[in-house]
Amino acid sequence: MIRLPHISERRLYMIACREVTPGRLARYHLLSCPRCREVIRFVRDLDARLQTLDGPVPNEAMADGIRKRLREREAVILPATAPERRHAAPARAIASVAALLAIAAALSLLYPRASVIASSSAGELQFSSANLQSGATIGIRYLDAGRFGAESTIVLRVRWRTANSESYNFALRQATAATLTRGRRAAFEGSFVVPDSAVYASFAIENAAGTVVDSRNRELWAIMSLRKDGAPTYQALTQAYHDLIDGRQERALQALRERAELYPDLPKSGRELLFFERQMLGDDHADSTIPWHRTNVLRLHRLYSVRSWVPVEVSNPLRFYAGAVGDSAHPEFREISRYWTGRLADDSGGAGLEARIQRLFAATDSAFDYPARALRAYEAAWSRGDSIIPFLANNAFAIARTAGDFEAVLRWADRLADRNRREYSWGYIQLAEDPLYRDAGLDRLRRLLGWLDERNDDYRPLENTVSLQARADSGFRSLIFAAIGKALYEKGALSAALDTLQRATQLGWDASLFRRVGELLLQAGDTSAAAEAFLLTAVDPSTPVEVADSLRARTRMSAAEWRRGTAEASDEMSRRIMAGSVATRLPGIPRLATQDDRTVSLESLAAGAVTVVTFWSRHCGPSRLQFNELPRLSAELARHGIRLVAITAEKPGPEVARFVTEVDQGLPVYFDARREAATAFGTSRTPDYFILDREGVVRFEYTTLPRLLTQAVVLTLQDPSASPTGRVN
Amino acid sequence: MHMTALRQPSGFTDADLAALARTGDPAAIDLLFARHATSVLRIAYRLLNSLEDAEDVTQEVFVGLPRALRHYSERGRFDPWLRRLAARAALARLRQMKRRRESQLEGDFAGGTTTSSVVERLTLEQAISSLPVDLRTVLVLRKVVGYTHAEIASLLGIRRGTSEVRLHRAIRALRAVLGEDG
Repeated sequence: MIRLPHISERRLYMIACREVTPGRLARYHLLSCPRCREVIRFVRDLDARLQTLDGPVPNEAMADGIRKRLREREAVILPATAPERRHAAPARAIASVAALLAIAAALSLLYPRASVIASSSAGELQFSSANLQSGATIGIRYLDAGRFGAESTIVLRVRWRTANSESYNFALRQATAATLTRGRRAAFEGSFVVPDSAVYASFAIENAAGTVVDSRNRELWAIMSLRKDGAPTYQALTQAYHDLIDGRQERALQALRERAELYPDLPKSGRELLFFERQMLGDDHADSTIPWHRTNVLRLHRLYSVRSWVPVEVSNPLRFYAGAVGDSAHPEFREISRYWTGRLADDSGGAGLEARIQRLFAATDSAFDYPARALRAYEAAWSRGDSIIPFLANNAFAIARTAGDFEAVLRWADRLADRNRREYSWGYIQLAEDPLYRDAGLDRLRRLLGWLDERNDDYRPLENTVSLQARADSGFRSLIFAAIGKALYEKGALSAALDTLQRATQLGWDASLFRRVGELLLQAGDTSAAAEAFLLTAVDPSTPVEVADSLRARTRMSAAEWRRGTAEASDEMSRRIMAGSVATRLPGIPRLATQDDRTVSLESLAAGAVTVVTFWSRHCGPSRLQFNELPRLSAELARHGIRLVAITAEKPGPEVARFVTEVDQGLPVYFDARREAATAFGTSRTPDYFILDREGVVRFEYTTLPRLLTQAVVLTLQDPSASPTGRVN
Repeated sequence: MHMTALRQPSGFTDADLAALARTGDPAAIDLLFARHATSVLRIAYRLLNSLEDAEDVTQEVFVGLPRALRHYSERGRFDPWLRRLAARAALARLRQMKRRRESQLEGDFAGGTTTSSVVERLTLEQAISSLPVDLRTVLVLRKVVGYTHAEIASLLGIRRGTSEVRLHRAIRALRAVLGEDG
């Protein structure tokens, strides 16, 4: 009989506390191991004893004290709904803060540019069931923390995910799940019916106009499908990962870990966990988990290699998994990877999605030689309803162009754009650039502009207000105008082209787009419009001085004309950039720790200067990449008198110090282990960026690295004595 | 979604009393005190390890109840809601307190029923009191108050994984103190 190793202490406690269900091997072990069974018995016995444990009892003196204080109308404010730790203000100030936020929420309807940081005013959303079951009616209760003022109804928006929904959220639609009505007390209530096949759903709350959103500090609320024992299903955890990978990487990693714990026999669990650990934790940390993964690969290989047939859902991830853990010191894993590649080819039947994806890959490999045949395979996939395969429309569009199938090109361009008209309109732009498809492309681009004029909530992310989306769309419109203008110019419709290209420079702010449009205008002979576009490019702080000088030379403007022009362009830049600003005061005064463990306040770090605040983590792949840019950015900002404060949620220590030193020894890094700053800013993602003005008011929130310099410099140009745009909340 | 209201001997449900207490009705607050003060006091005591502080917090909870009840909907059960309120109030007090050694029980209790022998009762209570405050806090919040790890993480400003680890360490420490037969 094979002796099974003892279950780890941690796992025993989790089994005893019913936080996990014991797997088959664990159950077999417990049958034969009194020692492990005794641990479980102790923990469960402890649970029972804790519930009946004696303790002190109140006396009449306490009751008298309470009566006296009530008679004296003493006001005591308790942390009734939100955890007190998130409020920097003392408990007695909570009521006044809540009142201010209620006023601010009402004001935000009148002054759409102002917004309220959600961290101290995220409400509480409750579901009557945590299980997302197809066809079930789920009741909802939302406790508003002051964000929605006197609204009598609010809207619950949702993003549904089925078992085959793809990673990231840009191709998924949002919908209204329910309208909630304010009940007799403060709570809003309503219900929704779970659609068929939904396994995971993310939610946010907003008012009917879409101008005020509670997205739980952009974390969203979520429920998922559960097994009978209350554990999440495999599909639910997979979709949790796909949803959370879009900016909530730490939680995505947790979902992967939970999936690997609950479903260890599915190779995709281990394989994706390994991959994501490398992305999130970096190679150094991920290497520490490699021994476990190697053991896991060997176990899975033994488990499945004895079977005469194995589905592609096993062989495909297993071949990659084995390949990922092998190296020159462990060549056996390369052998295992080759074995499963062979099995994949042998066992390539199967009707599941994974098998169909593999067949499409095979069709794509021969697409250049046999494009018509490949196109037929893609059309068949589409007809079967495999439109959820992420690369389907993308590949088919390219194959259709190779095949020269005019109707198919247009058909696949429309299907591509239908995934997300903002993200995938590049298909239409490509059509407009190709003489063969130009008119069809132009027609579609014009319709796209009309579509942008409507309110399209199904493509609006749950976190975005309508106004935030509109601001983002102004940049998108600029792109569309530029593409239309270029196409019109190439068609010879010069006048229309010039008008359209000028419109491209009147919206949003994108210095590189303005430069491209300027070049076109110059080619078209409209030197004065080209000069305007070049002036806009030149005044952007991100434009190198030598580029600005060369643009000036091409305009042939005199020095005085250029000076006047840049002054006007600079004002225009300020106007457009500040149109996207907010005006939000941070609740409380977050404290941070320095590398040598002293405490400093963010207020002291930012006082008197425009300050860029960035939240980063060395455990987050995208954040690590952008962190490398910070020294250069810091130097550029410093030239304009702008400070940079880089904040991480860790405690000061030698490992993080080593990480920072490798990038830049002098980089100002601060530690937010208690998450006071993250909570005050309403962020839990990394990387994330905010810009404060000289008074410490947040003027740009959740912005991006490429826009930072321009936004921060524009902020320094604002008159410090003038009040901010919009109301300060 | 609709919870069955438990009819108490006085004829008023907790929900009825809560509605009255919200208006500041002292009789309603008195009755709620009579029903629930023991559990509030014991939760506060477990978290603070000090009878004096626990009594203070218990008073604060009932004096602040009318205002706090604005956030309570009568359709939910009252006692879990009140226990969580007590836990949050005790945690707020804990943060204000200086660190002390937790090695002794605070005095003796007046009354209280015993379901087990005196020696056993003192051993378990002593073991809980002897836990480091971080571990004891998670143990009480999870096992006595009934918060999930996610809620504890939110309350304490820690990660969910940290909450799980602390609970396990607390259990391990209790096993060590109480022994296998504890």
